Amino acid sequence: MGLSIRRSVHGQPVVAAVPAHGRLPAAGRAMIGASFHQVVAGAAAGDEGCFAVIWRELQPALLRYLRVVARGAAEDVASETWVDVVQGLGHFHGDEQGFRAWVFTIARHRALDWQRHAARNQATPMPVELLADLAAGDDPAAAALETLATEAALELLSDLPRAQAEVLLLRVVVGLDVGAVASVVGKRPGAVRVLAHRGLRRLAERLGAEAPVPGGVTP
Amino acid sequence: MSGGDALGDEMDAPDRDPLALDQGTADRLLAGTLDPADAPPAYAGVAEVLAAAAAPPRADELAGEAEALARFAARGPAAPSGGRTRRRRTARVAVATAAVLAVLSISGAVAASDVLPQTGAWLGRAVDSMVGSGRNANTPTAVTPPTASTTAASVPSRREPGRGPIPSATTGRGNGAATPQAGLCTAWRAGKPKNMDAAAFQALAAAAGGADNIPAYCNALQTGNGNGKRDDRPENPGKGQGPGNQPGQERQHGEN
Repeated sequence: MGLSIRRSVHGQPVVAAVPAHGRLPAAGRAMIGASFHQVVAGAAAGDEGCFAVIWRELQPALLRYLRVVARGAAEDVASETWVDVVQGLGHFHGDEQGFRAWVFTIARHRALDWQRHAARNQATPMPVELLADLAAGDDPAAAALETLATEAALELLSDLPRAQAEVLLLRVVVGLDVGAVASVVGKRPGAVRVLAHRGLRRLAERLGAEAPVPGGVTP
Repeated sequence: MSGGDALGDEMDAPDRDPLALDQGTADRLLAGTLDPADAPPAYAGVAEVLAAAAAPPRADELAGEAEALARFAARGPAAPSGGRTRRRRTARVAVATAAVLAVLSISGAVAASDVLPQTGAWLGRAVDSMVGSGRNANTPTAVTPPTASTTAASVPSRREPGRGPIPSATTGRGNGAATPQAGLCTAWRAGKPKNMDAAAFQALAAAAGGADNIPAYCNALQTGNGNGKRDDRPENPGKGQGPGNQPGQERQHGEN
């Protein structure tokens, strides 16, 4: 895991963790790390640099979560979520895992609001969420493939029953542990485990039906 | 945790069920610590899908950063929050907010006047027109939030007021200039000069026509601008005119 040092407005260096290669943060692993409290306090005091650390840390996972639970409105719901997060920053107390759980609790409520709104206005066609233009990288083709892999994975997760998909996303993509997921979705930890288990199983069924894995049993 | 019992029926009969998944394997899949090659055959694909879902952030997912930061700078964490009673906050927050507003307003003022000594007169006119001939005299429509480029160019620059016009700050920025003065005044009241950013203080002094005139100036501004609002709300610079006030702020967030 690499460290990047950014200088805050107040002149104190803020050490922020850069996501490890290969994955978004795994469950239970704090990513901002030791400087987390400093970062949150800085952001609450209006420090843009500190807010940027938080935003970069959470926005990708937020978008992926919302692509599944608020399909077609992920960007908008994410923006609304940040409005609430910024407003509540000064009142937040807790560790980084708790912070992630808090942010995604807000996101979940915003997504539910959006769903209710969308249900009331069924005539409104759902906007098609287009893939954003990829920033030109060293290897655009590889970047595109990576994008498609992630999009395809989110598509597959979207096909699961919503509660299962949600729990899998919160565990795998957001990196919350069972207890934190339970607090976000308002269920007991045991229920979260069951949902995750069923989601994994159903995912395996679906993948097995589409392309039997070598050594697996054809259905 | 009491998940074990509930999972019992699903973890039964591992020999007969090709999709059997023990809790340990499930936990490793969910934690991303199970390599697809080491996963049970039926779950190798699942491990790959989960790894793809949790792949590192992509550029397009971070593309909104400038906009998000601009909104943050404009609103700030201590932005006005409708009728919510504010707890006592440190003056530092108010001063930090005021510093941002000050730089923005200085940008507009300097761009509009090109000469610093005229800034006070210009601001005075702006305030007069707002207080005297209706608050929307200079602002026919709602002020749009600052664009990413404007904010990025003007906010981080703690430039001295006398340096001349800032290219990105068009005269349009001046439309809302009367509003930040209220923020400056509240910041001044909250922190007094000692905590106040030098640029913010200078801007306020210039607007008031001298440091000695600040109390009178701020009182006048508050009277003309207050609309009966409590004056201990440092982050409420006027009413809906400034970049610090955007839709959605009054939304209650009950998640905390």
